[in-house]
Amino acid sequence: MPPPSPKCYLTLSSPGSSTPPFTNPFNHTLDLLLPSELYTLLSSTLLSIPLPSYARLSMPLGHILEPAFFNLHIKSGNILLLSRGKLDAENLFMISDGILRMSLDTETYERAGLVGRPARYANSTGAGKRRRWMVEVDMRKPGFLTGSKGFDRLKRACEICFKEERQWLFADIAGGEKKGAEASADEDAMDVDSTTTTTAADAAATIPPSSVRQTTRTITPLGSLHVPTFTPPPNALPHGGGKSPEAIYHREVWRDWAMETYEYLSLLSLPGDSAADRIKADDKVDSFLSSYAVEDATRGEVARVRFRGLMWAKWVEEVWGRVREGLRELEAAQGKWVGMSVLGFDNVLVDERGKERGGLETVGKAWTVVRLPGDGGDWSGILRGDRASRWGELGKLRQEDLEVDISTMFWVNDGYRSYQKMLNNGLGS
Amino acid sequence: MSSTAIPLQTQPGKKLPPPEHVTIREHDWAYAALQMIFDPPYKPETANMSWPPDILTWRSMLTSALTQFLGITGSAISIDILHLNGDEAWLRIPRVDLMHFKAGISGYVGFADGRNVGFRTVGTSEFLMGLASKKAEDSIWTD
Repeated sequence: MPPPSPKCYLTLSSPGSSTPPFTNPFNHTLDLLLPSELYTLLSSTLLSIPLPSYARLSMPLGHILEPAFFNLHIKSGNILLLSRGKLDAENLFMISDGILRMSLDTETYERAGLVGRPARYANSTGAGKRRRWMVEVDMRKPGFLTGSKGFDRLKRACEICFKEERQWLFADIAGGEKKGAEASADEDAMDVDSTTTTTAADAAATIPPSSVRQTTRTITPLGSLHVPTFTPPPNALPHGGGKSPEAIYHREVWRDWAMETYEYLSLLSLPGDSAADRIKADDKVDSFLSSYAVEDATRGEVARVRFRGLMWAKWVEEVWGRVREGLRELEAAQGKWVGMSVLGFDNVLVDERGKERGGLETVGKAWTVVRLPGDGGDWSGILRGDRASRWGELGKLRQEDLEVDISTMFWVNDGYRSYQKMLNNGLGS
Repeated sequence: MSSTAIPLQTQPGKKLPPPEHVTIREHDWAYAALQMIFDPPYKPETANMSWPPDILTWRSMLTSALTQFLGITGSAISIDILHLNGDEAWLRIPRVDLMHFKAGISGYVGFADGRNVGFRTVGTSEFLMGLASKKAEDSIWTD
């Protein structure tokens, strides 16, 4: 089955209702985008956001089954673990919510002797031989203990097939959430499996201090930019209105506006130390080179606060919560927009609903949420009510299963052969 | 926490509508991030007038690649150069032309300043946010 085509989901929520919770695990970048004058007012809130730490490990998979790691992080803790590699091309492993998931090619799968199911997207229908497999092991199951059948089988597979060192990203969610309560966590760990004891020294041994990294926070004034109004065109509606040509037109206009806003926020989030060239206020370029223009633009200063590291869903949720709280207290924030983009890792095996992801061209999920500066008029029109909402919230612009060209090596004279090489590595069995 | 944000003036007896959902399936645009590759490469330590390539170089190289592959049709593909960063460029093209565009630039070998010139596709995507993500991820693993 081919992977699904890229889509963008938009959720709108009225100011009173809550936005759908943010649940995407494994995020690597979080951008907060806001007008500079708002940043100066909010900076104390933004700077007080605690930065979680994560670790970059190099270890074989079997390490997670060693008593210290297993008891402390798998059985009692809550961790995120992600191996490096390309989705549907290499053997990949990840742990979230205590469930170990592996995406394996047929040869490894057969040698490992674990029970799995054919991968959803990597296998073509009707092919005689399955190419890739998905194995799921719930390691928090009460019966999954040191010495149990499932444990021994996994351990054996680790010794036979998964011996080589891999690169991992590790985040201790439970530890990050209640820092300082480490002693009690150790006690919990001992309760889980009394055959082995866990000490603080063991805990340190599971994650070498040298591998621990801190999430970075970079504040970039993006300078003077074209800034759109963040209010939809008059009469534009996301929904409803029936099938009349006018209604269809209004919906189309709204969609165009929403996607333009999304595009604009992406341009603020491009890698590098500045915003995209075309939205800079002093940019003058011939229409032959670019026809991009921000509609109804005004000149404004924008600041970007960028967090980088391994960030989990709850932390992201907390950041947005703090921003909202900070805004609520600010009278000056009423007419201002604030945006947040969260970018997920490419090679996550399942999405937040447990649905399998796949496809060589898939990129990580991106979530964008914008708080819009509605002043009653247009925005309450969008919400199809007569409520005079002072500002609305254009909920999560969620984007998933995006297509990205995987062939990162189209070298000039050798385009075809490198493509061939990729096929052999990735697709051939 | 949001429930107390700003009181809504709802009519009594009327429930708040649920959040509305809209799905965008076929976006008008597609985006591509390309890197321009030179053979022999420019040495970073020696300053050179033609590195990094400027926007006009990009435009003429792209036109030349697409014309070589698709003739007049290729040169008619409208490309918006959104951003340049070093030897990389972020472009916007109509979604319907993406397949042609990808094919046209991937095998191209041009000639400029005494060097062979080609493109490396960093990524293509129907939504620009996907490209922002692609580039950012690598450094988490490597730096």
